[in-house]
Amino acid sequence: MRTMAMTPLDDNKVIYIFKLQLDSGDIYLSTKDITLNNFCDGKVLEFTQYNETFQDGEIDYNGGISILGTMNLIIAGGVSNSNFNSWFNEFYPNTSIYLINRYVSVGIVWEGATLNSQITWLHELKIIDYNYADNYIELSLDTNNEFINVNIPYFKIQDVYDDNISYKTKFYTDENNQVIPAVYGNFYSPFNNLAYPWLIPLFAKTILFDKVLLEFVYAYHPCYSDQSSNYLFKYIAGAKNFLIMKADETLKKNSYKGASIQLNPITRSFGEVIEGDLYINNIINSDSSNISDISNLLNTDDDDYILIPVGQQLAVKVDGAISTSETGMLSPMSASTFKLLFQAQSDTNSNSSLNTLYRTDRGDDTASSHTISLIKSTFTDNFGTSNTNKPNASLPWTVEEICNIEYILQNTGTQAIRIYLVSIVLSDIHIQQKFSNINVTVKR
Amino acid sequence: MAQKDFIKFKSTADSLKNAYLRYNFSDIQGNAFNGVYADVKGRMYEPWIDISGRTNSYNADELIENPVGIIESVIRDMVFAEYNLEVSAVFIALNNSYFEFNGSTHALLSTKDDYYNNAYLINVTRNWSRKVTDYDGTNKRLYVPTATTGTVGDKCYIINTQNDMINTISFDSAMSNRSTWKFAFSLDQQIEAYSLLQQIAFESRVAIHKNYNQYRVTPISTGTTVGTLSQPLIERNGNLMMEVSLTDIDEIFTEYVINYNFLFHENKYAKTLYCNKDEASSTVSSALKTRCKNAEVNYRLQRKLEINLDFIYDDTTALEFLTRMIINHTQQGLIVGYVGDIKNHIKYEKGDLVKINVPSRIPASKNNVSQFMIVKQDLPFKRGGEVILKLVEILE
Repeated sequence: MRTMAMTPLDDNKVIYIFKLQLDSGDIYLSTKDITLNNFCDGKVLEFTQYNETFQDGEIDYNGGISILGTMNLIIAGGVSNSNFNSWFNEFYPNTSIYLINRYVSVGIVWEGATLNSQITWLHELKIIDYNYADNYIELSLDTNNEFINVNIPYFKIQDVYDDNISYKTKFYTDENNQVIPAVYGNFYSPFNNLAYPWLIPLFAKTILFDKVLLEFVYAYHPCYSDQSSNYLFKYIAGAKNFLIMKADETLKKNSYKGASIQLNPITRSFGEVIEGDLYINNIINSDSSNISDISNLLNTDDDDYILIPVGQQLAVKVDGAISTSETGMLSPMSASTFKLLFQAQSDTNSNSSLNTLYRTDRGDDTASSHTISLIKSTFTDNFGTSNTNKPNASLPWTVEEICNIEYILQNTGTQAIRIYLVSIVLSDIHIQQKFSNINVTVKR
Repeated sequence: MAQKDFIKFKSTADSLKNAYLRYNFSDIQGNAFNGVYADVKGRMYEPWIDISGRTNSYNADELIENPVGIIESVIRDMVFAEYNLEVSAVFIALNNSYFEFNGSTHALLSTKDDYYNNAYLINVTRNWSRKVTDYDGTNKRLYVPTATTGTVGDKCYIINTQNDMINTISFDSAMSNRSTWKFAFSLDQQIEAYSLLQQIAFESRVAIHKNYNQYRVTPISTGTTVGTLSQPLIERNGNLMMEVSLTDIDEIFTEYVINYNFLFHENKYAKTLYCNKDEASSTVSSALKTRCKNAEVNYRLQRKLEINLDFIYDDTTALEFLTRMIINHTQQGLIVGYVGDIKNHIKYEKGDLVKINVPSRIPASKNNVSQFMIVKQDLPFKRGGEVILKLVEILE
């Protein structure tokens, strides 16, 4: 509700004030002559002839920005007011007094007012057009909207001016004019959550700012820093999950120059590697499985499970194609190359037991055994050091090979076993490595 | 390794017959690094959130999640801003440094004294932000109160330039009203500020409007009324200058689906809430199902509304949005055209909540009970005077 600068009187005493704010100074017009701090000329508006209305912009009651309010202001010609007596020659193009984009304030007082401070200002409009005829100038006004024709965010990658934010001296064609983002809200998802398909990760977008340093910028402005993440996440469609790329803590930037994470140091030592991890949760039932429906392993409810009856087995494989060019090279013959991660629990109050192994078209790996208790637990089996029945056994595992084998969970106990989660985990993937020499594996 | 590189093997050993090279680089030319994301928290409130007289519960350097806070930040920190500034002269003192931006290029726009008072000068080169306490338009000189570093050539930009255009009372009240709502978005494509703010306002069910020369945010919600309208003008034939109608029947829906939690990497919405007379998501109350059923029975229609929400990721916020949509769109509300005298009605303005006590026009169950929002106020500039109001009943 408005705070009125003057107590309202009867309506027949109302006087509307119009203040034209021109470069040459303010001009006060009114619906009736009145002298406040300035003389407000009522004759110029000739309201006995013209009946103007301020048409307000309406609030959208479904939420949104209200449209502009509009009005026309008709100023009579041929009057004694020195601001208008030369008619249209008072203004541009005949003079340097411009009307367009200058403001007109609309206020209200009542008879008896003597000061500008008694004006209650109601609206502020901008002159958007004007025309004139034999006996009047007509100004077209609207309430102006500062949000129109303003494109945000402002900063784009460019090589024209060094603003310390968006400037680059060299870039590839597709980088030019790429917007440096603005980000609001919480896009922080602890990377461990990527092991669990029921936790939907939420990440902010980045742009690749430097292809040599692999600097990814996520904002042109400083961001809230109450988390210690120095990871980047690249989506691997075949895994339906993100490759987690680790950056050095010291290579994060969060300042008025922008917020970014950089994978490569400026100088990289021989053998230094950018590493990454990948949890592959999109799995399908495979040929060796005794379980007909594994949909409970794939949905977003962490309480859902499938049951492996006594003497039976669950067999799964990766449902999708993943290439080395997407992920990088797997660390050769180490425990972390790939692992089977699963969550299991005995279906009764007694323990059970479970064997896990991988199966290729040449045969099985050696099984690993686990005791499964009534407490839901997470297990990790390292398969990366094994090459039993591996195709090209002398060469390191590739991600393609890992996607083409079965993963077997055999109930070798006396109680049924609940399986809540199965994930294939690739760790310490060599995304990029600096070489000054090339190591060659030689086969005789 | 670039495509033109090659590998040369050299060995004198006769036993060296087969050499395998198993090595793949990720393509550093760019293809391998499309679609990379970061787990981060976004923009923080600038000190404008704490200026004297404000009553909100937020502080500078806190994460902005409140949708009204986001609206204010978009306006102050991105729209009311000038970029690509370069220091042309500088004076560093203990309590009153100044920086001039008066070069032939990269200069401030305004020559009006005090224009940038209370704006924030951001020196990108030196990585600081300072509040502007005074502005000399002739020299395009910004005064900052504290000792700081800087030199000619520093790269800067300035935000919060038209800070007196924000009605902080309105924004603080709206922030409080939406205190449990959380929004998030990552803006990597340029968009007109109007379009962005329009979408945020819609998804947070608030109205952004200008009263006189200040922007306000008004939640589309019931609240505290500021008065009661009871004296419409009377025409010469004795009729009240007051018309009552209903909101459009095309805005009535009997089934609702909202999609939210947009995943950039999959280009799809990960979560959905739904409600109709028979079924609803588990978090949706049965009372909302009843509303859908009543709409179908009362209006004898079946119509589905499906909305994609780009800024809502939080389950609580999504449910709030759905609840308000259902309350508003399963029943028609009153629309009132009301003409009053200036003396008793000029004090009201757009966004005000009022009651209407005119029993000859307003149904008894709503007369002097329901809350109406003034959505429009036309002013005819004629002798005798009148104020033409349009009011909409607020149902949520």
